[in-house]
Amino acid sequence: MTAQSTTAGPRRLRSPLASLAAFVTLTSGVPVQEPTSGLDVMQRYDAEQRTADSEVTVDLTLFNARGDARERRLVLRTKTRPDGRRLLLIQFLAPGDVEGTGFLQIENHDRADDLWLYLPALRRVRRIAGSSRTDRFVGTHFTFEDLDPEDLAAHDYTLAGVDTLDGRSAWVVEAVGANGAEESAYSRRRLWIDQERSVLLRADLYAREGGLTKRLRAEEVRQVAESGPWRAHRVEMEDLIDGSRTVLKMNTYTLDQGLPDDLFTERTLRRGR
Amino acid sequence: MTRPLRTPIRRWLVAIALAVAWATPAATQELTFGALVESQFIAYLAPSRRFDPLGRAELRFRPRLRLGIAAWGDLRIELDTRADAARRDRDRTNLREAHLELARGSIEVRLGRMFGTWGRADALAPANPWDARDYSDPLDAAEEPVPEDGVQLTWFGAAVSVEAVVVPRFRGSLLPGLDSRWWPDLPSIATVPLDQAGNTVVLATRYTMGPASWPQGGQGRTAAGVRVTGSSGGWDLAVSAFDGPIDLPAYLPVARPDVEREVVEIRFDRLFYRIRSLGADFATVVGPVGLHGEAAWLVPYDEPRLASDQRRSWIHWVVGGDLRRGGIWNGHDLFALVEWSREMWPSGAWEPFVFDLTHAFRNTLFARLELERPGFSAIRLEAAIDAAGGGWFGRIRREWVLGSGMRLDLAIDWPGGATDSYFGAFVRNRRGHVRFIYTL
Repeated sequence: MTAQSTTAGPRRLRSPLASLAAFVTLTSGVPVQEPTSGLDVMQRYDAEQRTADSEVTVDLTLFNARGDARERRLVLRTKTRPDGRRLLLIQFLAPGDVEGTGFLQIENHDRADDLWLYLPALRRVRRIAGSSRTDRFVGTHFTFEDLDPEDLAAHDYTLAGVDTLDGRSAWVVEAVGANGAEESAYSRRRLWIDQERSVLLRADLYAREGGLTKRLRAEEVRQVAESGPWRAHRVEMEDLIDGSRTVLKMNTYTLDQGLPDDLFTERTLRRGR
Repeated sequence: MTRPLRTPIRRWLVAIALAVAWATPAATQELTFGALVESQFIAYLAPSRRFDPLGRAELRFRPRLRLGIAAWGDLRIELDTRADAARRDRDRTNLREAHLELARGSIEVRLGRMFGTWGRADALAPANPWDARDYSDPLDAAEEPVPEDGVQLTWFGAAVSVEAVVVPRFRGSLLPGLDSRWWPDLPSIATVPLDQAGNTVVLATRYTMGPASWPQGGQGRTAAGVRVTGSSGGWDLAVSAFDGPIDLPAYLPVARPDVEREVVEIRFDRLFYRIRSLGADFATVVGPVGLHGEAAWLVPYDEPRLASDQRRSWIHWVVGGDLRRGGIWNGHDLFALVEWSREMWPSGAWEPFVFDLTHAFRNTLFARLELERPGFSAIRLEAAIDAAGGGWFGRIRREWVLGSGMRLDLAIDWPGGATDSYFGAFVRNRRGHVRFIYTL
């Protein structure tokens, strides 16, 4: 089954971690007519990124400023319920010292999301508070904000031009927070969206103080299945201040396989797989 | 010398292997292996008054196996081998975990050796009667849970789950021996009544440790419990009931004066008595802070050998809060935790023996502060303040991740306070240690 596009339009997730679910679907799209504005580009991009559920195995490599690498493997499962609430389950598969560590999040519309952490050393599931959008995610260079789905209502978009990245034509869109936007670590973002596939290829992120601070590069864009949606299979976030970075390699993508709700429970967290 | 595998362990292995062989077509099996290797060196700042040397070297090897059986079964086996060069009585070869888990719909059965993890608190878990530990080095006890052999049956409903556990032969905690650094200094002389006229004599003391004593007759060492858990409106709640031996024994001194030899022999009998307990626990979130707590009402019963005060029921509760912030400084994550442990006796307060671990933390504040750069390094601070006894404990630990699964720790443990408090009695056990851990 291929991914189903939705017409949900702009929608805010209530908690940053829930937005991680959207990260694996940040880059997808279909050929469309010439956009007329930055918002038009982003609406097409946003409309194509959602799926009913997904399961992705990710190799995560952290590089510090000296270039030392630390590798982790995790599996990330997401689901959107019929009522629009998102479910998220992340479980670390390797190395052995973090194997079995898991996060479970259930998005709520009327109150803060439910979030649990399982640490295998303690063999105990602990309810935890949601993180700030500007916090880093599990020590990576991605903040929860970076992993959020694009909140179209909370930003002003300007079509800044056209550029070519690795032979791909891309729309360049400037995004700045609109009035009422949630807290952000960035004063503005410059986004490169693949013209043909509506895939995010690059993002330059400017600190609140104004300087360029981080750069995201999305590469190895391939269709998930023969006629499935396009997805970046390698995403890198670099700290331009000290040169440290995080690389995510998506090994396996499975979309819209009908993940059951009862997969997203403490029971699965404890089982560690 | 490392102990050979004991007969019950072999029985478990055979039983589980047969069950798996019977239950699983080869095509549905998913087998994974892993292991932990740990070497630790500990240097004490003061010599022991007993036989413990100034330093200790310990090597640990924990191979583990996991067999996934389609979507409905899971077999886990982990062996724990510990060799302590200085304290050979701490050598162990144990099955740390060996259980088969079968799931069918909303029912899950776990059979074999497993850890009990009721409750919500970190430092102490009064609502977890399955919390037996190896206290032969109490400062490491948090990382040394003792598993139990039994059956766990869980029903998972939409809103609640119900878990029932039966352990035919409760194992209980392991405790330091009389020659350990972790056995308190006791008086070298004792005044003993000589006759009914009130004459006394001062005799030298000689201490011995009697064998562990388990409840006689009736249900003996059998333990059973049930726990109901649920989540609603941002709260995790649970209630539980337990009937079985307590995981930490009462010490019963038995004195035998020998006036001719001018010595009094004092033997400590360790009595694992039976209790019934009712527990409850909760967890919720208020703003950026996670709150949790648990309480248990514990009632000793059916044990005439206990002193009258020891037979009193008591309430033990722990409440705490934690805070996590990511990327607060140069990519570091912050974790802060505070917990308060309090015991109360509804029938009136009394002063338990200060080294009775069951009641050692009857009014104690625990705190932890961690600054971690995930994947690279961490600094962890721990503290405990014993308001009842006047003792305290501090630990600082620095960790470096050397590579994938490889870690080096340096730590200093610093007990202190009143000499008749639990921590203060062990100021000679202030120590530094270095530990290398490789997990694959």
